[in-house]
Amino acid sequence: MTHAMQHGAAAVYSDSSATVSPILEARNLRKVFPVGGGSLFGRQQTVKALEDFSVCLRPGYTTALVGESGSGKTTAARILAGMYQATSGDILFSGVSSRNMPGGLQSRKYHQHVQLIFQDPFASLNAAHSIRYHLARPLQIYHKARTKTDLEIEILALLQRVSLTPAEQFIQKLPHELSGGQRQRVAIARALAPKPSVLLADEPVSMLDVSIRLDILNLLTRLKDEENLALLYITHDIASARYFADTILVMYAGQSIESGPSEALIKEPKHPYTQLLLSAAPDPARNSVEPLIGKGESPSLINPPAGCRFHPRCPFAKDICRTGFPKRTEIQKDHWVNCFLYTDALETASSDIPAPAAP
Amino acid sequence: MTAQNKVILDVQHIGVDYFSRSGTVHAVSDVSFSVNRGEIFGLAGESGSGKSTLAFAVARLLKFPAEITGGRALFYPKPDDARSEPIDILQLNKKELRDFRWKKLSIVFQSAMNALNPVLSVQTQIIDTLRTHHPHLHRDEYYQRAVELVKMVGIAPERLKSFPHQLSGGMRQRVVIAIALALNPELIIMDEPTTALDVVVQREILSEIQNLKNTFGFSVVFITHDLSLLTEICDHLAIMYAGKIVEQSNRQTIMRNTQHPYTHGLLHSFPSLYGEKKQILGIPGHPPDLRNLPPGCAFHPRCAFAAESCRTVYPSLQPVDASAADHLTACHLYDPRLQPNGPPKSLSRQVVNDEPQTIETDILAGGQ
Repeated sequence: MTHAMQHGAAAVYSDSSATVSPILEARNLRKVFPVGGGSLFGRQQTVKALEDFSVCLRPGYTTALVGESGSGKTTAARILAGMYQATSGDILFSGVSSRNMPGGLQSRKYHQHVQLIFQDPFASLNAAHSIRYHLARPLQIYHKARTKTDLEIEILALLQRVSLTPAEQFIQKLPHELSGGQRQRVAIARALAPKPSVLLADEPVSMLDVSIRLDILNLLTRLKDEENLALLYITHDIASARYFADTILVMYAGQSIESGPSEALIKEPKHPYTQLLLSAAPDPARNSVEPLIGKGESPSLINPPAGCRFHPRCPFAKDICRTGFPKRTEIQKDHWVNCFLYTDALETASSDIPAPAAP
Repeated sequence: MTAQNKVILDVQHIGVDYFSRSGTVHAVSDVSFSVNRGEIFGLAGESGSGKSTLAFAVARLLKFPAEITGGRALFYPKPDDARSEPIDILQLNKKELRDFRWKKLSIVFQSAMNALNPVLSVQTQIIDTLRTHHPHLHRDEYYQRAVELVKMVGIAPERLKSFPHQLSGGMRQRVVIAIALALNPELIIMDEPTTALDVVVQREILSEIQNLKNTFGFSVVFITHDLSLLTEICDHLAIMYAGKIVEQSNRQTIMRNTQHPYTHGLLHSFPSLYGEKKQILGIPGHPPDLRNLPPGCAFHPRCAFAAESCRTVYPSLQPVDASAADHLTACHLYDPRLQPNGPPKSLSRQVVNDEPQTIETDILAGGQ
């Protein structure tokens, strides 16, 4: 209990604008995956997938994690969902540290409140089972329906909520009879079944056709508003993050590099990588095609570059960038960046020191 | 230049069916378009719209259960070529096809990992292509050309010894492009060449394609579901829906003077990074089942403007008006016989009443 006392939620939120206290909070998460068998004498190689990751999810608000493949966004979501165990760092749910939760992040109680929606609705539903089965399982496991009639009513209500109407027809269908968008709606309904307070959506629309993506995102936004959910929206599409998220957190090669209110971050991106990402996004409304500054691809995370991992691509890289990671600099209220262009101070964060107030 | 010299590929009334136990699927029906020399022609559509099938038909890559049911795909050789009359790709025999493919027309496939052989080095795969078409060259000549090719797409020649799994996604796609360029083709079909790539790499590959096109003067048929990408790079584009072209014109016209409600919906399915944040609704409903197409216009169940005629009669691809002959659309809204008051002033409302999921919620309420 002592740990939770020291770093209680109240101490961290000095920010006055954060009127809604967070429901789920990640502090300084770090994740290292072992790779290969490792030879008898050699050192075990590891993938440094996530470094010093902190985020706050508040009821009724959407936070977007934006980054390319290998940026650690899915790893972060899976740690938050309790699927992976963080190498270090802590997760707080309603202000209670995971270390003080009975059963920790693997407990049924935690899973009831924090639900994950997967990227690929073609893989996340079981082809052998009907929609009824997919929705009945969580309702039974989390005791949301007592009798058979109750169960049927609840399933139909869930289908209605995700606009799969007429629900009576969808209930007995098999996944292969549905289109991609309809399947993703079933996956969303399944995530809603335990009445969660946090939804983690891992690229929920990237496998879907362009014309139905907005429908699904609009649906998630409607559900978030109706049920006051805290929504984490993971995407590689920064333009969609602008529309659907209140806050954007940009990640690169496992490091969080910039975060802020979505409009402010997109209008005035500070980190060279955020600027690169914005200039690369296809946009018919763009006036001219400017050349990319900082081309290239993400580094290998087995031997990531020291210091700021963007430095090999960064046109502004200085000596200090190659050795240390910059301290978080607050540009404006809630808008911060980790870049030596804006500070000379080094980041000293370790898993024992509480994070600065994340937006 | 005469009109004949300008065109490199003229596809006329092509149709492709897939045979299945549950019935024949008309994946492509009666599609015509032409590609000019040196231009990027975009084919846009969702999955199942027939865009890849169409491209595969033109390249004669389809196998049973797919069958080309009719039409012609005329390829016009360079004006200085000895053979000046057009070649109908669909009529070539096996030997002629072998000679034609890759020398005149090559293909870049969607998934570079699947297009490359995982157990052969990049060098072997490039030289394999060269050796097949020019069997009597010296080993060094093959190697020199391979070096030339990878340099062209921005890969260091040292990487020739690499195997596909040692390369990043972007580099693999570059290798596939290098192989497509190996024999200096006049036309390259690119089937979603950047779909699996990150945005930054995607943009690099796109500018690489544009540079190469400007240097070597080949034409590109660029297939993608991402209309925002096409509107940046294409000269002409065609939008496909349920196996048919629904709108076709040059880029500026498609963007500024959108006619078909589906095109309009697609263009308004992408949030923009610039300008005012406004409410966007996408297109309600979902793409149709090709085995069981709705009667009339296949788009009518999702269309806010659907009238009685849309449910019964398929609109043919027609010029929008006499002044814009190169702007074609297949929509009854522009048929004066059916719309005596003229087309609607704005296509902006996309809400269909019988689809309650088309949310009226203001998505911006939470965002500001």
